[in-house]
Amino acid sequence: MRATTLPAYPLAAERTTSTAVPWAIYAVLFASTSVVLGVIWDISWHRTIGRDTFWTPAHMGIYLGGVVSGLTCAWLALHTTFAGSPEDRATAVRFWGFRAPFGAWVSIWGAIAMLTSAPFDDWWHNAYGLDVKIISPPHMVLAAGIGAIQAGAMLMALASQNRAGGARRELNRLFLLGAGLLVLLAATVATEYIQRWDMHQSLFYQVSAGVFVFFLVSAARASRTTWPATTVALVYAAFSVFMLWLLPLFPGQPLLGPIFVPIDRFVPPDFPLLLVVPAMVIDLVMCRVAPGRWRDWGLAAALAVVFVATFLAVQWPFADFLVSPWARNDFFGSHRMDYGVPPQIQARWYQLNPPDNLAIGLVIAVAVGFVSARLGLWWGNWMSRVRR
Amino acid sequence: MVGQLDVAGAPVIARRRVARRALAVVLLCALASMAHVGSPDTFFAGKAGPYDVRVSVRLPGVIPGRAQVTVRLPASRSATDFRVGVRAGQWNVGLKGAPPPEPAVPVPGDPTLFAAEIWFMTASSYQMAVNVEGPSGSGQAIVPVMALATVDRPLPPWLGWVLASLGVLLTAGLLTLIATGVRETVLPPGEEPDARRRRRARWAAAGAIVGAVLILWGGNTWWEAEAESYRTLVRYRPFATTAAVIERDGAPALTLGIRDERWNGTPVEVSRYNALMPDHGKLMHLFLVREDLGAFAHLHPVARGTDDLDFDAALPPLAPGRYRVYGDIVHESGYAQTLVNTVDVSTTSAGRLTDPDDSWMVGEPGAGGARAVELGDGARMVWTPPVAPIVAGQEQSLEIAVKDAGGAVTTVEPYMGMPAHVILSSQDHGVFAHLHPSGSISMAALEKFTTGTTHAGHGGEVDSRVGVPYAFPKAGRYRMWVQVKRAGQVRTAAFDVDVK
Repeated sequence: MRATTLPAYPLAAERTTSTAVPWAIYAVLFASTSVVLGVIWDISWHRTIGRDTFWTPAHMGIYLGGVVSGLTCAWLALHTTFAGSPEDRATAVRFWGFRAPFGAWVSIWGAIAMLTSAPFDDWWHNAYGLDVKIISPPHMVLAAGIGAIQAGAMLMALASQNRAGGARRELNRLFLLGAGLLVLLAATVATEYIQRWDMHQSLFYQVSAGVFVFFLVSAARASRTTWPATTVALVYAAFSVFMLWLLPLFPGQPLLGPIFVPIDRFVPPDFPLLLVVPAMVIDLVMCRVAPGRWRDWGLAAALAVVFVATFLAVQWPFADFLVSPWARNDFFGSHRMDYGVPPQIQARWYQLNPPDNLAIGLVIAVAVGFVSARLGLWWGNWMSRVRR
Repeated sequence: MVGQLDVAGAPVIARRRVARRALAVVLLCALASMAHVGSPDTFFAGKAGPYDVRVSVRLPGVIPGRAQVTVRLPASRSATDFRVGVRAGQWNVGLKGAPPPEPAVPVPGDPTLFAAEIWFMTASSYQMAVNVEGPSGSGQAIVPVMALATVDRPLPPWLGWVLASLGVLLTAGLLTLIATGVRETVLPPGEEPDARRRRRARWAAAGAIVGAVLILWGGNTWWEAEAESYRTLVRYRPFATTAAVIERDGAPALTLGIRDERWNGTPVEVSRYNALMPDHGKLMHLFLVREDLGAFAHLHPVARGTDDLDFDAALPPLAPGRYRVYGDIVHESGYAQTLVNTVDVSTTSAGRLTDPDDSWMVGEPGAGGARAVELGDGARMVWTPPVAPIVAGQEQSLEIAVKDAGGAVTTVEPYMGMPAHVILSSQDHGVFAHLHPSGSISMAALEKFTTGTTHAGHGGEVDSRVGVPYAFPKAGRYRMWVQVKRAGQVRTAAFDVDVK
């Protein structure tokens, strides 16, 4: 398709756009929420019932998100390209001759990645067996797709916010909601490395620094409100505890053996990590340091140190609490076990793995956190300037 | 570190890293072997209370996966008169740790046939319960099942093209996203990117190509590592062995040694590869099959030490040649496997046999595809093939009987607890199976799961008419040796079976 020349678009128009949040942002955020909650539900399904079909409600939640996101953004692209107003077209980017907001293209890419993962995952099961772990090549294609849908939703809200010059607080809230969902997805994917029993070991802090610092710092840099990283961490925690408290309300029975633990309720995710504390410190540090290419290097180092230090300070004792009798209740859910936990592991359910060489391990965690923070600042800088 | 041998169903979230490590150990220790070779499905004939049942369990090829179970009730005249359910419990949890029964639904058009699907999460030994409720009450049959991963499925070409096309689309899309992100996303609405920004976009796309190549390369490496892990840790791989003919007490003897990282002489109780248990009093049933199928022996080697690493058996007077060696062993978990090797036999001399139940046969079946073979004591072994051709994959009953000179069916003595043993080998040696009238199951495993209540017993005479349920796994010619015991002597007859 031939690229068209855009009509002149007065900058002043940026501030005179409708105050209504574009419906597409709500639709893609809904899709994003549906997908990530579907994923958590699906994991719970496997831990409770064990076996599934294409048509489980959890899968439906994931498909729904993919379909809503894909169709919404495809419609947005077609509408903007062929029937969009000058304003619509001016706030879009070109992509293979079509026009749409950049976030919409990211979401479309995510929907196609999710679509790709379906036959890939199906063949994978036929070749290597049914799901036994989260991290597999087809699941990572799916996770990339889901992540792209969430990033697309975030970018659509962000672009609108940036064009409005930060005056649109509801857009900023939607952006932070999207960022929180992205953190939830990242935490879910990384589950096997950040479990309760490993909270006194180096790898837990290395993985946490690598994964969470990036998302918290990038969101904090791109947001225009106070306490952005804290808000993102709270969104993550809120959805986590929502599922932690909701899922056990529903009956569920294992349909796959061997059954070592008789259960009659859905097994929920673990209590969320206390990311909110390091997130608050990240906000406090970042609001005191103005962006700057060279300053960001020092800021990244400081953020890595404060993240590891504060996260260690709160999560380490909290791990002790989580394995104590005080956490074996419906509020914290430490007593919930999968049906397939064998006696040898049941016997160690409330024991933490002993600390390894933390002197070296935590230094590595800080180094990982530094890279993560620097990348997060770079990404956040770019996001803070996205206007399409 | 928590040891988790024979771990349960591997929930999607392994509960801890130690569990993951333990799982790796488990899988290392649990590399699936199968009793029989090239014939992993289970066939069973027995009783469920008052009802005769025939059960087949067709494995999915990969584990975890879903097996197809069929239950045949010859007495059923109307499927609505019966309710059939199946459930399987791993050997270490039994039926207490099994999921609820799966209803076996009537197969339209055949009132005797019921079908169900059952899930196996780990490659291990299971006891499957078949529950039948009918007009004469209810009953249960226990069927030992080996859930094994046996196949290596390649990516179908069409799917490869689909995935490659989608991969190209995604890669191209990713590069475009990156270029677009650099070129336009930060521009104020309506502003066209200048030459500098376009140049930066092209550089970004070029850099992204490097990243995309790295992602694709990394993904491919990961995929190959996963495939290799499946091949070495999950898929069927028998214990490695050594086999040789040695001189012992002045006579030739066969020695079979287990040399495998999963079997070091100190079995772990909670592993499915725990201690060996005797099957009809023998730790190993070893079969020698000459490569041209012209000679056969059924021996019972004795372990040289308490570690069960080396087994020796005196050789009977076999014809010289290269022989396939098949050693059946059963672990206390009920996990049965067949060790495989080859050995060259160059002598026909023989010493004193190791075990009075050892037997052998040198010679071809009767000419012209004979269905009746003289046993040398005046009786004949008769195999009555089905009217229709035998088709690969279709279950049928191998109908066998011993008849006297007048054509009357005679009795036989139990040979190691069984009225008959049937040993099958395909001409290309891709399939080997040791069957009984109870089917392809391990009798030792059956005894374990039923606490010895099903043993056929020793002594006394039993009817020689037997039907052995089985489905030949592939087309081709097979040699079938049928062994019975008469007047204290083991008699072996050979038949050729053509499978379409």
